[in-house]
Amino acid sequence: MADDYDDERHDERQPILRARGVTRTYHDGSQDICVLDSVDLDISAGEKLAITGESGSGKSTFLHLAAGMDLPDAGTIELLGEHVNRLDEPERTRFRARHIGLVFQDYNLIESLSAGENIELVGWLTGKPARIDDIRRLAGELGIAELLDRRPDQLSGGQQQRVAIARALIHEPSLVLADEPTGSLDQASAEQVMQVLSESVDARGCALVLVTHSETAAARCDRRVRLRAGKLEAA
Amino acid sequence: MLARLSRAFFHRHPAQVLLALTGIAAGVAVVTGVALLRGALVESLDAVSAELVGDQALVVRHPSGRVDVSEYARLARQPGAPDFVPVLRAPVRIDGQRLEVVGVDPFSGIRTLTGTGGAGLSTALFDESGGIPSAVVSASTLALLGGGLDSVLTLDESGRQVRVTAVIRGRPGLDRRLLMDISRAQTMLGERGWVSELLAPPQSESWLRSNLGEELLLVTASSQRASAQQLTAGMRANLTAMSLLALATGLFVVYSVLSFLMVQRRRTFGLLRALGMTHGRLARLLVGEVVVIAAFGALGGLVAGTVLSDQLLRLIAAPVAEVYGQLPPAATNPTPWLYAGIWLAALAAAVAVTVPVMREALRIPPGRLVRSFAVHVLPARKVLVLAVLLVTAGAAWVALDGRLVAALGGLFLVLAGVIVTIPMIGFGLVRGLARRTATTLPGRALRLLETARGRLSPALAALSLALALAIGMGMMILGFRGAVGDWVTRLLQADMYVSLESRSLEREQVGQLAAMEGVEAFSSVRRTRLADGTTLTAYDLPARAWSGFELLDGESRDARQRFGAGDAVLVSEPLARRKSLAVGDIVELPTPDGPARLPIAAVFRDYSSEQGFVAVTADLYRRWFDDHAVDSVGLYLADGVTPPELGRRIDRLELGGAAQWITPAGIQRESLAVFDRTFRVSWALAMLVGLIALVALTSALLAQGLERSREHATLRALGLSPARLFGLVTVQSAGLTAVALATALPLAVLIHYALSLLIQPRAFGWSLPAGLPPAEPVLWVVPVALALGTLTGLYPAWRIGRRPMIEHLRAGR
Repeated sequence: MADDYDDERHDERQPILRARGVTRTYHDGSQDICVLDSVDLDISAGEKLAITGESGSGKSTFLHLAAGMDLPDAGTIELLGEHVNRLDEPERTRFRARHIGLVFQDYNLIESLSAGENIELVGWLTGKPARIDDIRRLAGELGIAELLDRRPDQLSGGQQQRVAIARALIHEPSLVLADEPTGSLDQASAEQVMQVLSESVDARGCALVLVTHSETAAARCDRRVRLRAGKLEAA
Repeated sequence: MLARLSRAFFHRHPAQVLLALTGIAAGVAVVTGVALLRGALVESLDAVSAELVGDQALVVRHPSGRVDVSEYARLARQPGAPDFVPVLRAPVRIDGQRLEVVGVDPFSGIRTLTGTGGAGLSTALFDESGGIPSAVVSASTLALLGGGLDSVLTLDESGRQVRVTAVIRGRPGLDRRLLMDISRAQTMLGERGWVSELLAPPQSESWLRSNLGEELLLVTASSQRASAQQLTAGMRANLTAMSLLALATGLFVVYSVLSFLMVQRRRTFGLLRALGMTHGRLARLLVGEVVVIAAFGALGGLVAGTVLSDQLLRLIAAPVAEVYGQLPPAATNPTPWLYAGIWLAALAAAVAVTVPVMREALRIPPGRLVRSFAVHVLPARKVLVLAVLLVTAGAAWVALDGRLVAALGGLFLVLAGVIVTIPMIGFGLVRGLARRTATTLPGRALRLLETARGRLSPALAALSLALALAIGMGMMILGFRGAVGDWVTRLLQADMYVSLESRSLEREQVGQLAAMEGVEAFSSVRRTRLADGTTLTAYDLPARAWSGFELLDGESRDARQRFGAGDAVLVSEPLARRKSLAVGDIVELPTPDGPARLPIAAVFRDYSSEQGFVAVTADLYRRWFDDHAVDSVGLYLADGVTPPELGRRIDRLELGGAAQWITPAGIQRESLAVFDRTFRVSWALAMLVGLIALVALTSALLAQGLERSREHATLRALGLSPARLFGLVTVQSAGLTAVALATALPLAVLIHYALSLLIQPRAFGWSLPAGLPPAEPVLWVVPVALALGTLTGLYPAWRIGRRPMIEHLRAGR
């Protein structure tokens, strides 16, 4: 069912992501820790949203719920009109592969694959292989065209993160979820990566949810929200 | 504190600890099992005399295997004669088990023995309630036969019965024996007036040497022991080689399992180093853990090995009796020293084999939360140099030293040389396969294995070795089986063969058979052991039987002429190899008239005995030994007469014992059945080695699964479903098995030829006709290995699939 979803069916005026009353509690022994407490959040198509907050405030948890990698204890998450938390695990996985691009703090490239193969990987997972020309064009856009044959351990942190961004964008997702994408980079690399990410997202008109501690990174977004003790507040 | 760290880890990961213990236990179990089995084979030497008279007992025998009672009486009446213990022995079968009837004098023969409860055995031997003769057996024999005190045992061939009237404990030398009153045994076996041997105390040696006369042979305990040990030397050497291969595979498991345990704690080690733990203390922690795991695992292995040895002994007992005429004990006899030796060796081997793993752990930079161990992979050039060195050293050892130990040692070195190249070749194949199937799940799965090469290499090598061993040994066994089948078919030229149960055929009985209507010609064979230990076989052969000999050396027409005239002997291949004899050499045979010296006319193929024998004509033998009895007679039938028809007539003849007849096809069937029983133990060991290798593969996959946990979590996050991740890991396991099979095949052919052309001739003295290896083992092993290899991946795949994705997305988890 999730695979049948057609992006064009989605009403542009509707939020691309709609979270309502999202609550997530972890159990640590006999103690319950409420990481997200009735969070409501809408993100429009093409919008760039920065989520900031202290460590442990629930930023990454929200991202995982939005990606369908985890399920809320209460509330709903609607992505492109689909109730993600009502899908079963294989459906959520397929939905994520098709519509979401993920960027991680530690790049998470597959060490045994070259940069080009890492980008190509998503096409294999979605069952819609990317054309080599598209990969080259995107790599050129991100400044890594010459690095496609290199393995991750032959790349700098900034280069690896660009490869990861290319992997997140190659299948033209509707939403990119980036979890501290500059957290492991020096300032200069971080700025370059943010610029590339921001421009690429703009160029494709997809929405971006950026979880970050960095004010500079957050400043590149259209809107900022802050999570404090599981509650969402305007930044 | 160190102990607390280890304990906490082990408590949290019981399954991994169990896997480590299993791996070590499995390797130790096979080594222990084979060591105990070897001991049992050595003990299978003729232990009856030691049990009845003492360790240094002397044995008096006649070359024919039977001593006339009148001869015994003559000796016993002479002044100064020792206290002889006359013994009658005859092989029997009960419930398919090979046993031996040992008839002794109830008073003089069992002085040193007592039954359960300390009761004397004389009464038990005289007991004949219900008209059934009594027998005394050891407790292990009774357990083997599944009976109890007072149970009635039925002899398979004749249907005669004996009643168990007493049980002896702690006498392994009497295992598989039915101790009976000698006169009742003589009656039951139709051997009145004959005994098999006379036992005498060691102090009577000089008296015996001066009074025995020329017809009787004196066998000392040491020569008897040496000859029995020599009998099974080849088999024991092969078993040892198998157990060492099992140990080598077991050590791969130890490496894989311990590296798996190490991988799980890389973060902890990094932190401990950051907090100030020195290299020395970390090394102590690791060595301590390995020693503790190895100690408990090895203890489990000792227990399992003891159980295994008894199972192996059951497998091997029948062929040892059939092929070597020896009866091994019903149970193995472990000693504390053997256990202690194996246990300590296992600890040392476990520590030695984990040195590379420990070095990895010690290289972790303090405080750095490393994502994975960079397992060192030797560069291709170094691998090739090492391989060439090992192969050259092995080949040189084999070429320069003609002993069996050199052949086995050389083969080990060559195998080691090939094995070190297997990861390189194997991962080359993985790359090739991955390239060809790049866009499919298998292609991706294999591609992802590339970075786990260091971790998976030992498991790949172990699996390849185990598969090569199973296939190569299978090829050798089947090739050998075919050769034995052909040899038997060629050898047996008569239409049927007749013998008597448990005794020889006398001249008159041979005459009766030869004179039967429908019998055109006959042959006979008489095999005897000479004073110097040489086996002599006397043939009475019609002209048409000559083609049964496949001459390996010597000219057929000339050899036949000189052999037939009694001017020369023939020598079987094993004896020729053992004593480096060739055509034209002179053989000296001890006879009652003094040494007979005859040239060798030919060397012929023979698989009936590892020790080999000298063949002479029956005329010559009778002239030397005045022994007219024969072991069996071959009958050549006239056209239109069938073996069953003549067999019925033979059954009606009065031959003085139960006549048994068999056709060549029947002999071939029985020979191949014995052959199959002989190699069951080899199959069993090969299977165990294979199972150990699969444990290695499981632990290696789990280790690489742990190392790759972030990769797997990333793939899941990017859209790989749990089912496809499961498929991915399973395909990796199946792919590794397929690659192991591909690398195992050439190695299997190498093992086949090494076993057939090198080990067999040196261990047993016989050669196998050269030819292409049989393909059947490949057809059997490939599907089984692929199925097991795939199944082996299921558990790691399940474990990896169940891991929480989010937790593992972060570095260092």
